[in-house]
Amino acid sequence: MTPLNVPPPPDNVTVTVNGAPMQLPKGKNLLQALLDVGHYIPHYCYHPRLSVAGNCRLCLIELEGRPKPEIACNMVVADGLKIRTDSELVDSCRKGMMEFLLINHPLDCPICDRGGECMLQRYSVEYGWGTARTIDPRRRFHKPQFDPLIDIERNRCIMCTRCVRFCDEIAGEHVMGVFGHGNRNYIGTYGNGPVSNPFSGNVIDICPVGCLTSKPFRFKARVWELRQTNTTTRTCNGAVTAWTRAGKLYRVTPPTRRRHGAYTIDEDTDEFISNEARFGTHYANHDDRLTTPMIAAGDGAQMTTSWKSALEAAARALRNAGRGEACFLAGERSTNEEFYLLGRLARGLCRAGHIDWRMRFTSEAAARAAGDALRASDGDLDLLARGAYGATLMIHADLLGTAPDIALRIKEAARAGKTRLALLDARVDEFFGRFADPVYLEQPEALATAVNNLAAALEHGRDEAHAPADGAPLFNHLAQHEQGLIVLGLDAAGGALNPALVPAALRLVQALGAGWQFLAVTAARNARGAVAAGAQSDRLPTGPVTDPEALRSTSELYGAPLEAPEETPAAPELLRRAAAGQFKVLFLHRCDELVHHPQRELIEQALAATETVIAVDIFPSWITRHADIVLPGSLFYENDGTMTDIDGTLQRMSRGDRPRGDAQEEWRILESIAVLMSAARRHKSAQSIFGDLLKAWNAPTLFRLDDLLLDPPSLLPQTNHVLLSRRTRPNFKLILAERGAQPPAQAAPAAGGGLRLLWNMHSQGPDHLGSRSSEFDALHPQPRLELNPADAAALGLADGDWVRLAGGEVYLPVIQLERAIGPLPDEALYQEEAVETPA
Amino acid sequence: MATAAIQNYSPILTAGVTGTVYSGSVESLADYQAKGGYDGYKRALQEQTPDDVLALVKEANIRGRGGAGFPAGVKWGFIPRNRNLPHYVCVNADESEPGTFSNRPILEQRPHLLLEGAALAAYATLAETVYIYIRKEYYEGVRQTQRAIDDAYAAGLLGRNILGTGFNLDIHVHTGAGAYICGEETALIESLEGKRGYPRLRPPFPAVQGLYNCPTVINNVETLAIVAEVARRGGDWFKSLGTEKSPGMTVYSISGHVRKPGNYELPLGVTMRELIYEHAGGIRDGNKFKAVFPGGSSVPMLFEDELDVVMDFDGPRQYGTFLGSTGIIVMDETVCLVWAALNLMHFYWDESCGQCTPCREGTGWMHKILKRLEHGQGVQHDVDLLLDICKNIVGRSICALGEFSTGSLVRTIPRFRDEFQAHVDQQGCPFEKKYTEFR
Amino acid sequence: MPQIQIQEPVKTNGVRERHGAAIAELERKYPTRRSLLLPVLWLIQEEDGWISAETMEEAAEICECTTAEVMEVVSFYQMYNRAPVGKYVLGICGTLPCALCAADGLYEYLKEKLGIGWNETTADGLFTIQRRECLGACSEAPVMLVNQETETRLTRAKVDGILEECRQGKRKPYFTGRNNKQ
Repeated sequence: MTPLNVPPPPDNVTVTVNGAPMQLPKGKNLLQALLDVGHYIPHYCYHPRLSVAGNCRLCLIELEGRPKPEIACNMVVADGLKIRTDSELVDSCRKGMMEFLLINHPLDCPICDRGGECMLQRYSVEYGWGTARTIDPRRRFHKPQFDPLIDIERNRCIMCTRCVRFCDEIAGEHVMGVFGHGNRNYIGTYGNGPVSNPFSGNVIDICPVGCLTSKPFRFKARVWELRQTNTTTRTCNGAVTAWTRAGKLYRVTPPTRRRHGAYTIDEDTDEFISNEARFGTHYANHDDRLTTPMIAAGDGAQMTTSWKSALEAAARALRNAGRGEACFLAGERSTNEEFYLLGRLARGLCRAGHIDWRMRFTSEAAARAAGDALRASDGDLDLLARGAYGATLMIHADLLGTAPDIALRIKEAARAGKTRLALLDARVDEFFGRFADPVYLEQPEALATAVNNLAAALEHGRDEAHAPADGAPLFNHLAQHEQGLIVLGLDAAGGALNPALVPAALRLVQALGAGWQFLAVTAARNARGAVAAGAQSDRLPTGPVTDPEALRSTSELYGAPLEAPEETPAAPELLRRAAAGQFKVLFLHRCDELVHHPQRELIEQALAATETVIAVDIFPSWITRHADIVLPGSLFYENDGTMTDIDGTLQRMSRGDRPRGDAQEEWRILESIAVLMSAARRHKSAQSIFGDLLKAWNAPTLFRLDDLLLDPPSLLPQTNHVLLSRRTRPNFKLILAERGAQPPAQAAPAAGGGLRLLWNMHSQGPDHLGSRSSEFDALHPQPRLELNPADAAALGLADGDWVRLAGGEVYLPVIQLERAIGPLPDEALYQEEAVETPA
Repeated sequence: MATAAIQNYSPILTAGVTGTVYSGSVESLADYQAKGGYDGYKRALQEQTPDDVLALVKEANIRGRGGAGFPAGVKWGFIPRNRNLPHYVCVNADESEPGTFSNRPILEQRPHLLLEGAALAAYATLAETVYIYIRKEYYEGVRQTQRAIDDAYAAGLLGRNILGTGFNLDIHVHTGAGAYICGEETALIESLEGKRGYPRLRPPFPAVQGLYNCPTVINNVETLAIVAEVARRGGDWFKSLGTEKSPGMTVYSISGHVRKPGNYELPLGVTMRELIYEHAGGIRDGNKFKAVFPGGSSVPMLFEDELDVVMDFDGPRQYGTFLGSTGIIVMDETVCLVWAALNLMHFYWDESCGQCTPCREGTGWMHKILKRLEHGQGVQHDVDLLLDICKNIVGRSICALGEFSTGSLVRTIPRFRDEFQAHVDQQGCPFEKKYTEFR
Repeated sequence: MPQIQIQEPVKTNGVRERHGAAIAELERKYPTRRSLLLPVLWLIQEEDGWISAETMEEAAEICECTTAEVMEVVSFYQMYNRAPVGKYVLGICGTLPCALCAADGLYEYLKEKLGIGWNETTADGLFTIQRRECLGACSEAPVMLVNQETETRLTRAKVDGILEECRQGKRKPYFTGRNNKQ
């Protein structure tokens, strides 16, 4: 892989702060530069990832030689700048602002959920007066219902407008605003409606005071009583912090650095997480949890049993399976370690057992194409953020629906001008549409042809003369740049990925040259890990199954002899064979995607036709009820291991609490079965399994699992006041990037008559886990079908009608048509404080 | 300056309308052209380069009449001399400063004078579009200005390829919707862009990133009217009026307790005493003078012993106040200064845009305190507290409105502390306030 | 599939339809659609007398911005009415130069005569009293804006005359349209 050119960081220049020279990066925001070196300046409205508003006036500093103070957040580092942050003037500015901010504040700290994390509390102590000089009545606002998940208390608001800017700049649309005038300004949404974007929960964290707080967390606990576990979820890319007490999950936030809640989330992190990660993880508290092992007791009944007997039963069944009679289906949300152990069980300890993870795809061809795409992925979102990719093309990527956290990072780069974004899709939403140019819309089955045409044109040359007749702007957009990124969505058609799209996209990357990289995106949380850890039928941890060297090295790692398989069926084919009764044992490891699978009948047949079904899961479902052996697993803050983000970033999942009841961490379950199957015990910790993986990937072995955690003590600067950002977080990447010459794709099969279904986030409701997160349920858009009015008229459908859909291999339950006209804003729109009449 | 010379001065900008707003009739395009109107504009287009016009305005040292007194030529000079981006000229006709009413007669009765000045500004700054931002309350001003624009288009003075010179110019009227803050130039830009009138942070300055993020010049109505006169009569004529550092004339708007309130256009450099006692006929009802705002309600007041201040850009500065918008509000001895401050604090509290902390919270707090004082609920530390709040606002807000709100207090409290304290001690206002009686 | 009667789409207020020409003219004036917002809101208010929730949504569509952004603007500018007003809106200037010349008394007089206070409308829907800040006619105080006309040097007799003219319908009403109801 050739390293890409990245714009160099700016040079340092000398700035004199309080008489002492300091080296700061030229052209950088002065406030941020000072914070980065641990020189703390109090601030409310400034946030490193939002535009500068300069309205709180707390970061006023003195510029030597100027009578008036200036705000640090609107200054850039320049050579020879001389500032004072400790003068009497600066002190009086801070005191004055703190007093102004508190004269109308209700001072209701005892009942405020922000307590302990509040910047008003903190700065009052550090920069405030100590006494109140006001005797006048305080301004009061009505308290509206607002968002189902966000509580608003306007009396506590300091009008920093972070939430407004967050919605406008980061999350998509200007749904929050500043209403009213002057002293009676207040924040809100139009008609007090919900903050309708998939990242809305972040306004809770970035609110520096107690104005916006979390409804699910309201009055539940004080933050300093909670245990923080830096971990990652099984559903979303990126890291999070789980805040728990006695095993119960209280809230999920972006990853924090400090172990105890003495500091604010807002100062702790500058990362944002999606609502899915924040609220969609509250299934953790659902009572329905599987807590003890169970085995079938005949007549469809199940009975609880001991771990010993359950594991022995599982090991026995696997041992007894004949050659090729054991099939392991590894859920896409398994950790890298689980994938590795499942591969070892299937390949090393069962006789030529099958393993695959690609259950979300409904055809064998789609599954194979997806595997190819993921194997070839080498795009790096950190490089994107640093401006290495001049251009980015997103092909058929319903990114907001499939991987919102990744969508946010790509949009951020486009908005910041780090890359120029183009879209080629069957459907474009506002989220990217605002920042993309050019935008091409194609019928879904024509996308592969369009990409192939583009690649063919580029193969002839980058000169404009070669541009396809109808695609010149897109051609030029790509051809102008030596370095760029192609993003391909694998899920935009539901499970029915057009297999021709993958080779077409890879051909395009090839045609664009060595500076171009490729990123396949999917909602399958740990798809990259499955490929790399050997949970895909044609992949071993050390390479393709067809490679004798890979076989040898993997066999060494497994501690078991391996043979090259004759064939490598993917999950769709495995399910078909299972339904045909070809397997004796079906091992279903955290197969959430089967619970809501479109081909339910096929799976029912597979369960019925297999002698022993072993299921590892955390919640009962129709699948676990059909299983012969049920093994209860763990939550994302009860388990040790690693996950791989869609761009290859390794995320640590760590155990902060022990699993509920008798449940166990999955790696222990899998390792125990291996031991019972007469293998020598190899792993006493997840770290040790990870060590095997590092060996498999030829990674430096000095690197420890805990290095992935956010706050290795040595990296923490020696100050209490430092806002650490993404840049200082250790980041380890897993990139396979096998991209061979690809055959040109055939034209996509023509669609049948009638309408085509374009899959998007609105097509499906919450899944197995999401539906158990009551808070998230409130927020998840109702599944709905969006239709062109002309089509609707032709079908005789109107808003609010119910329809049943069946298309291709996708089969959906009843779906509700979206209502075009939402409820009108209520009277509260006009209920602001009455305007005072003049004296 | 000798009084005699002033008395010989005949008004130019507001000829025929001085004194009262509604006495004159509207000057038509024909009337204006008969007086040599648009001659300067035609000459500029046909014979001069944009740089020539810029040099003329720089040379004449026309200082802005909107309040800050910044030289117009210097402001124009900040605009890049290329056309990489479209340039804009915005005319600030959002005249909302209490006690200021000099733009109104120009808009209503001599709109062509403004149009010519705006067109010259556009020519000099390589702009092809001018927006005249007129406050909505000036319905008549909007009507007359729009009519004048239509006439100018019909006469070929605006539009494409004007007078065959290849110069294109469009002038549009944009009306506000009732917000004092939109008189602040960056708030005006935001308002033109269809947003809340929130002043922007500087840098970047409008000359670099203004309207629609393009280089933009914003000038006051009176300033541009002067530009039109200077283009016709020359810089030397202009510099022969006024003082050395404050050349030319301006319109002093005098209101309040004087016998003859009105607009008085005079060369800069008259004294406050001349303005009040000679031009405006002295204090009404034979009362005694008490205090005066020299430049709209936003600047600190002047008092009896300071009336000999020279009313040019520099004169009031030695007293810690400013020429501002030359809106002179005169108050006689019957006026309670706490009441006056309360009235104005209501204005600033009401008109603060609410964007930044000191102005949003400070004006509200001071309003509450003054209201208590005036209504007999003052407490001992209130007077000192007011001064301290002023100190915490001045120089710390995004725009100048925060500082403006302290204009009625910063010089008044030290001078009339007894009057403020009396409100606390007597638990109420000691004044009778005859002037509020409506007959 | 059962035959279902297609419902008529919910009717909008039709701002775009009724003011098509004016909006097209505005589009020529400004390079961004967002700049149309203030003028479009004026078109609405001149017709309806106030800005309702429905018209705000239409304005958002016309100006290609969110409803929150329209609400931000409507609530910022003090001359946009967010509740219906009377046929004649009396905007009394209450700022210092007028206050020095009996503006407070003018308000008291109107309050007594009409029986309404600030931002209230008479029962017959004829008059609304609003407070305006300085109207730029300080030399002719006290001053009041009656719909679009500035009335200066007011006295009791003059005010009586103006009110009478309004009652007799001799003055242009504040709004032209049909929609001035709550």
